[in-house]
Amino acid sequence: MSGPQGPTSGVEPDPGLDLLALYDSALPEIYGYLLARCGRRALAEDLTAEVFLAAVAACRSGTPRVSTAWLVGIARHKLVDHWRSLEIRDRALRVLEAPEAEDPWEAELDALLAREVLDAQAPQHRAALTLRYLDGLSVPEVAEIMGRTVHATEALLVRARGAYRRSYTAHTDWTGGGPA
Amino acid sequence: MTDPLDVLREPIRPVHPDPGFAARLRGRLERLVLGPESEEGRVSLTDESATTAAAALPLHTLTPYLAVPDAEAALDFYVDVFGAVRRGEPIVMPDGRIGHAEMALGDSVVMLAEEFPELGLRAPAPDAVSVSLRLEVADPDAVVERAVARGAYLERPVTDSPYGRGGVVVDPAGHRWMVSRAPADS
Repeated sequence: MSGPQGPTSGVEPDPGLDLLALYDSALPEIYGYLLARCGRRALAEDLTAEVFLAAVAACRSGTPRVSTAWLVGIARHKLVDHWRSLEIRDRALRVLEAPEAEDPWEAELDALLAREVLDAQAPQHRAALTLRYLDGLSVPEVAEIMGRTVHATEALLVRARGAYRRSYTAHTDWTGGGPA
Repeated sequence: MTDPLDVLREPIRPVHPDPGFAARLRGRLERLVLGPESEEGRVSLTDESATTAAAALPLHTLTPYLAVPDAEAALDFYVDVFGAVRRGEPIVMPDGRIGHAEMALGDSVVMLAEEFPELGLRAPAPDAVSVSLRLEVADPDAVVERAVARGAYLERPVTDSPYGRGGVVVDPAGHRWMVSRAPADS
């Protein structure tokens, strides 16, 4: 009963090798995903490296199957972690957010301006809006990746949309009215 | 109901990163994947590949940082008994004390430094340990035996429990290790 479990016998293939085989085709996908969302090349490179290095450990500790979609899932977590760390750093600078009442916002947004406004949002808001709208995930999926309850995520999205709408509207007012 | 923010939808568009970056990352991955493995598995690492793999190890959310009376002695103990791999060279302070050293234990990084009483950092006093370290090993019997042979205090011999097989030792630096192997089905 004290028999050592022993090192891996070599009978089971190392999923790390699958990851290496996938590297060339997955790299542009992961880098493209991250670059479009974080907008900075150096940061996208750092996060891309984190994704692949974390994937080695993760695939060895048992994962359904090494795939690009699975790597995108890791990339989402890394992106959220990045924005969370920014949020913690900035928290002292921000006033408490008041609860938000949401009334329907009917407008047609300019896609370029919409992205510009998104990039200026507070990190946690940016994280939630990115997963919800850029990635098109459901609220429960966003909640899972952000490590929050569905209820807390809904509340966060309401606040994030409210703040976003104020920024966007202010912007269009300043520039003399948007395309809508 | 349509949501104006749906305009943000952004499908994944592949972008080729800088070739130098791509090559460096591939190299790190290859070292990580191929380095520690050999035909006999991870125990028979060459020193060089183990060192490379240890250096490439990313930090997890939590990293223990131990205070020890003698960093070189502690590192030797952890390397010989637990199979730790040193990460980089220890940083020696102007007064000769080791101010920072790192080692890899499996897939985790542990940092350590010598005692700095002026900063409130001391190794645990005997019978006054407040943080224990649970170490996952393949063969807790062998590891605990090695630890005791190298001067660790045997606090709890190796037994089976619902949480796996394991024992508890206090190493010569004063740190308490729960040397364990999780149950097979976990």
